[in-house]
Amino acid sequence: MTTTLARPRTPVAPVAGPVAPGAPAPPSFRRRVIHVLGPDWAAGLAFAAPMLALMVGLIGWPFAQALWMSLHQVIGPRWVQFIGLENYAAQLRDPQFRRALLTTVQFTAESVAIKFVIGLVAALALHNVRRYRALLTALILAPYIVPEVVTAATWRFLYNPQFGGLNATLQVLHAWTNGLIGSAGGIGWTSNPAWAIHAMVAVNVWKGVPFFTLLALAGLKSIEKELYEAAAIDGATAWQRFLHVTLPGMKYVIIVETLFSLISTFNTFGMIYLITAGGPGGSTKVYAIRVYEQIGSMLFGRAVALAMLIAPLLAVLVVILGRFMRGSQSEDDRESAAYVGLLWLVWPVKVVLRFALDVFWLVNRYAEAVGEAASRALGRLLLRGGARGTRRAGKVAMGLLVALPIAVITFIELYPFYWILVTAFKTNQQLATYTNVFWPAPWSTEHFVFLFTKSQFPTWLRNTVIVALSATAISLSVSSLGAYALVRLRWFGASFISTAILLTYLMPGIMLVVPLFQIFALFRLTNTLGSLILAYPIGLMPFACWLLMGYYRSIPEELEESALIDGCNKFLAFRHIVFPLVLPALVVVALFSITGAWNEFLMAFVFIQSNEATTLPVGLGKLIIGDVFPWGPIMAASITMSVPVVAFYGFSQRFLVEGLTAGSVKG
Amino acid sequence: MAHAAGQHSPPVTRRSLFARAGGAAIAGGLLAGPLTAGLAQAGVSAQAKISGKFQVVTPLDFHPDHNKYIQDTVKAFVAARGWDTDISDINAYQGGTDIYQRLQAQKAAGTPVDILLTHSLDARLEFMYDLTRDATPVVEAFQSRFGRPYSTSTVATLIKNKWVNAPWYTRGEGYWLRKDKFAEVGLDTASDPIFGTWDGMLQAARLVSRPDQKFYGWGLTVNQCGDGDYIVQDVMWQWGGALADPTGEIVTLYSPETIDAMSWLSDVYLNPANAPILPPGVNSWNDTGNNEAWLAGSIAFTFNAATLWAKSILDDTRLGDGTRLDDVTDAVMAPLGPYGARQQRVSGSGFHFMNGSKNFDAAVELATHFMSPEIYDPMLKISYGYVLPAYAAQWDNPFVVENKLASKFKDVVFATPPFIGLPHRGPPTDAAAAVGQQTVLTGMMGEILAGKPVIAAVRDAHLRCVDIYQAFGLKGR
Repeated sequence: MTTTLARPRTPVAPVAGPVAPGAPAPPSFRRRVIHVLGPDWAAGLAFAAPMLALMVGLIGWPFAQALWMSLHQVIGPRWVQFIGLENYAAQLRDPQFRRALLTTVQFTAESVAIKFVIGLVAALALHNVRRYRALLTALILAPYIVPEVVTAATWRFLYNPQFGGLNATLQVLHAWTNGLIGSAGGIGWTSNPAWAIHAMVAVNVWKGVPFFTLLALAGLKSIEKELYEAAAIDGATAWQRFLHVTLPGMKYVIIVETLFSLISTFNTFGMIYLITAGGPGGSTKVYAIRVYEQIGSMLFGRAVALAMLIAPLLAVLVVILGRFMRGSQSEDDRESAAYVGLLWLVWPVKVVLRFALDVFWLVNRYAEAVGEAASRALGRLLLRGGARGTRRAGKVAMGLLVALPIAVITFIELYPFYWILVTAFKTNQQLATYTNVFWPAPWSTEHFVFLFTKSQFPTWLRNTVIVALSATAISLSVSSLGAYALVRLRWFGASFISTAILLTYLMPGIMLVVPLFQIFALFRLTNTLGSLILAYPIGLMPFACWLLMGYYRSIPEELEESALIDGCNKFLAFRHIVFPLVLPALVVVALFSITGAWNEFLMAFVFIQSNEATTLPVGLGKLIIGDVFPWGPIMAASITMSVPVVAFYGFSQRFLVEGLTAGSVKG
Repeated sequence: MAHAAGQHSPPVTRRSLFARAGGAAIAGGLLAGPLTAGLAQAGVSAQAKISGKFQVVTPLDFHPDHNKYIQDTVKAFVAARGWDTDISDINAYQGGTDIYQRLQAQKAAGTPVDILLTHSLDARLEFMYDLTRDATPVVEAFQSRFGRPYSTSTVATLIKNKWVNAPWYTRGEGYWLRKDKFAEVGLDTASDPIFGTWDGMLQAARLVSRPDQKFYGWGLTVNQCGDGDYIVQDVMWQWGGALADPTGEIVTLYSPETIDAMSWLSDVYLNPANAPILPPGVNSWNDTGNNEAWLAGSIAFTFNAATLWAKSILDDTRLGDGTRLDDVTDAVMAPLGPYGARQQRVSGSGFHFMNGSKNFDAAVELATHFMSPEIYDPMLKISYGYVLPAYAAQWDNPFVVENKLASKFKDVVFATPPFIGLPHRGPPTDAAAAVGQQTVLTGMMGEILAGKPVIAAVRDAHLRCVDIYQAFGLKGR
């Protein structure tokens, strides 16, 4: 990390004053302050103050406390003794740690790679759709807003080897196709250690594809059409246009979305824990579950040490992400020790990537030659039908290229929703005895009636709406001011802070909740929605800042300069000139913020005790009691809470893509 | 570890407790049962006064009527006293580590709840975190009226001669059989000795399985979950293996007995001859897996809490031919292995008086109210098949006597050693609890099922346990 100014310093005009003969004038105090802190340091600090307060109070302090704890033998509440690096050494000796790390790397690499490819394909197809684009985009985005508890419950149901939807489907397909497709006995999705990790990847992909699709769509939209036209005139094929125009045009968004996803996927916990708890035989035990196990067994010092051992890996990603978030890379950055160290750290990865790219280009050269020959042959065949036939065939082929991926991806994304729907409308007897597997007979609304008359669902819904809207308002205020200070104002520490806001990604959430609880208790905020309203913006801040920083960069500085010349100060210029222009980006931040509040479980569970202040994700968890799973009410609740958000996404997805497009995804 | 009551928890004597609870009961004018009358005679004091809000956490159990009854009772109790009260709830599913984090955070922040009524907390962890006040005087008061508490509680909840929480009721737990299916192959679940041993049980499972009809004899998982952990522990114990020695300090997992036990258990799952008895994907089950298979009528034998049975009563679950599942359900004691001694246990719900709370007197008064027959007896009726008494004298209650499987559980509930209910010979330790938290035993079985030799898997698990024991400052070896 670096502590240089975000942008090159502007020369400061000399200030008149008494000067000793023959000696240069000593700089005034103001000049010295400006020289050290930057010309906009006062405004910068004022703009960034709310963000800094959140960072230091709610992230920095817990992080420092955790670091100190990792150097002690801490058993439960007892700080037994200072033991230096022994907790770290114990982890490094532990084969379980190495296994968990490898499992996490495998899970992350596989998930992110698949999410990237599917997200890109979905975005390319949606980008070329003429009709129903809003609806299709909303449908593909649907899994993103499903709470983790519901995601886990749904996939547990789908993976159930004996009664689950997936095996039921495979068995039907097997019967219909005489064994050509499907499986008569089903697959042990989560019972076979070799399958289980891939089954978890599938869930992560299902939930994560919308994020990639959304950003990729925005990236595609930001590429200028003239580039494609020029390439076409030069005779580039569709594949060549994709390789040489689309991909380079999306380079920035690809890197940022991949880094964000790498970091969040690496820290995945709840989804896997709720489905397999790390089993069978530890085959899905990612590092966050290992941390959780150690916290559960009261070996706090060791648990923290484990998280801290992972932190450098994440830090590499965070530093790279930070550099991209800052946009242009200054000379100071290049010379900084952190940057040089980073180059050394990522050197092996770069070598592997470069080799892979070389292999790709080699293969691609031959593939293009083969493709060209095939295309010529196809063209000759089609020309027999005349130019009209060729055009029609081309249209059909293009239509298929667009429709097929959309159909497949939409099916994959909506398949679990089908099971949610039919399960919600089955009677308890049908659910218990697994009759009428594919279609309820009769349809029953008993679970919806239960939700609205016998559970506190309406209260949970009301609380979630309050938290989501309030947290969104704070996220918008803090991020819009903070990002402006980091991009537009020249002050000491801006560069460092734009990386430091990513610090929150270095620790699993499970380790932040206790210190956060203590902080909130100090201000008598526990057991109130206020604790969640303050805590939720923390997780969103890095993404929101990245988005807004990109957006601010896209606004010509001349607009502000004109306002300043006209007598505005920095605040008025921001309020009247810049702020109205970033509204599309604020819509995006709002959507992500609402989605986060709709999903978050852990903090809501720990901070809130009272039934009156319970939010939806925790409320849904309350429906699951002991070892009896109330599938009907859970699925009914899932539908009820999804409908308004899907509708909201459908309505605002145009703004969503526009908000992401205009600036941030261009780098 | 020394367990201090904590500066917020002034010592409470049995006499003062009686005085507080009894006086409060009289002043409230609500409790007219013999318990409260007895308590009232023991001393008189003004009704408990509360500071701020009286905070009560009630259990969320699978039975909605049970939950409602508990909450309604609390509401009526506090309404009669005019106390400003905050009632919230908790369930086991959300428990795990999060609940200890929440309770620990509440305690550290000086805002613990006053009383928590639940079955989902591990007394050893409560003790370790110093989360609760000493409940000994409360338990002694209950004992003097209702007799001795259930056996598992004296092993798991009475730590260093202090009760970590006060037993309230037990939850039936056992090995469940489909008596109709076994009868079809000539086996009487009530009397056939085949159900008395693990080898016999395996043989019976082979006889009863009909994979072509999707009916399987062996509904036990060894996957990572509470039920799976219990099965591995039980078989290990039945073969004479144990996690630790009688001092509780030295790990003894790597032993010929454990290796034999794990060899037998892994053979159940790996031997192709046993394939027809295993439900598909049995080793992906978590705690709900066997419940679902049982309620769907597809397994003949499993281990579970009585929620499995009570759920079928509650929902009037019917089999394909319309038979009530409840009518064809039977329960047996844990099968025996070569070692010949059971470790079967039951779980129970308790009154947890949180350390640092401001309204201890009021909390004791509420607990006493719940134990009065006027409140307790209806609970037994409402939660039929699931809630059973925690104290010996309460078992004479007609609702319990009429419970058709209660007598089968009574032997387990009030068993005497060696039914100690722990997978190790020594006293309960934090390290032993940590072994459970880190799923060492089911992890070991998982490795064996994935192809690791039994000896190597047991040895590696032993080394993990030693590491965990040493992390707690025990010898481990």
